[in-house]
Amino acid sequence: MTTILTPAAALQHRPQPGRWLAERGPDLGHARERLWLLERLIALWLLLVLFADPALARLGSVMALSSPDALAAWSWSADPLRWISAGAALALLAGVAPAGWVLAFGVLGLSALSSRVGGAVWNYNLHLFWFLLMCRQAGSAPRAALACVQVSVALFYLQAGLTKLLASGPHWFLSGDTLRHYAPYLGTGLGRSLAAHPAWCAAITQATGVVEFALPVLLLLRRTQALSVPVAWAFHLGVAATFGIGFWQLTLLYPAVFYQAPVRRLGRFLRI
Amino acid sequence: MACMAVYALVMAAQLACAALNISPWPLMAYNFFAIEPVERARHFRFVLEDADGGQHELEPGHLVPTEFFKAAPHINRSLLQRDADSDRQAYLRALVDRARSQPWSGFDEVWASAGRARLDTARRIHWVLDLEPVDAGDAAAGERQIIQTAQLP
Repeated sequence: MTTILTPAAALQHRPQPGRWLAERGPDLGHARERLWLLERLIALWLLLVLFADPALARLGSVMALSSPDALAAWSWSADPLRWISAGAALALLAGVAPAGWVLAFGVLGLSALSSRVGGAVWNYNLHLFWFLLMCRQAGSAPRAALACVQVSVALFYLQAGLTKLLASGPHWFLSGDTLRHYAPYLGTGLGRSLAAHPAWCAAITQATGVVEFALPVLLLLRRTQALSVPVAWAFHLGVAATFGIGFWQLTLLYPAVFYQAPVRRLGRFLRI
Repeated sequence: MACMAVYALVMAAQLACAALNISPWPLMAYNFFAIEPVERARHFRFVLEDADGGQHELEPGHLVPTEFFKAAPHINRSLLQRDADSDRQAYLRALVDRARSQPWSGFDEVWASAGRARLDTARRIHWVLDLEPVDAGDAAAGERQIIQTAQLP
């Protein structure tokens, strides 16, 4: 049967990127609640790092280490940066964090934690600060804010793959040489034992390439999103097992960033 | 919306950082292990020497209470900042003293401090660079360079 479309009806059949994204793009349901949970997970992470081991010097000590005298004199309880960060985290946790607290947390806490250690810059925790910036948008544009967080997580994997590709070319992924070179130095017991098996190393770096280039897409498609998160967790678990680098300050947040169900359940439990 | 625009700008800048393989604060390239493989791995470590001349290797993360991968760059930077040999020795002694007097337990990427027994028997500490062949069979290519030595009390 042939039907005749009016021009107005024909227009409705045009490809509509907005609709396509809404139907097949990332799951952004319950965005406000997910951002609420995300903010508190970040605060919990910070508190855990700050207080899990009082003997552990992570903020002031990093600076004090450059001076033998300061190193001997430094004490955890007298470190103002640590207390400011802890105060900011508690304020976040209690839901009374104004922008100033978030700024104190982001600038003072994370810059001291992560940057300019030994002349090198280690900013790999700063995504938490950018996420907090988006959590501040939960009231006005929650779906867009959550989408930004999801896109940035996807970008992290793309960046990790891209930098390897640009530094060494496809050789990095195909040969396994980098793993073989650095596992004996920086690796765990498992990593060091893997280094003696070139074929295993090659298989692992090839899998790394697949994950780092596939996840940026799979994490943002509704149909594959739920399955991609366990893949990402398995990937990070593998890195933790071989190099002792868990990156849990990112993966800890995935239930809030990528799933609705846990947040809905938590919301019912907390009656919020 | 201004916040979103800033965020989008930051993410775009981060992608550019990845392309350039640089991480200027507060941006991050996430360039983990994006390193050109080399023929010989560069391995900074401590060597503790007992009174009888016995030597024990110690990873830098066991004497510096920070993430294990930051320890060696930090020590190198700290030594480089000191012109006088006596200052550099004092720095190494301070690291050992701290691990002795305020030992710390491991957490996440921070390794536990070296055992007290190992530190107490040491009479000298060396900060060395080992150039190690990647292939275990190529033993002749290994080389150790001593960067700094300090007497321990």
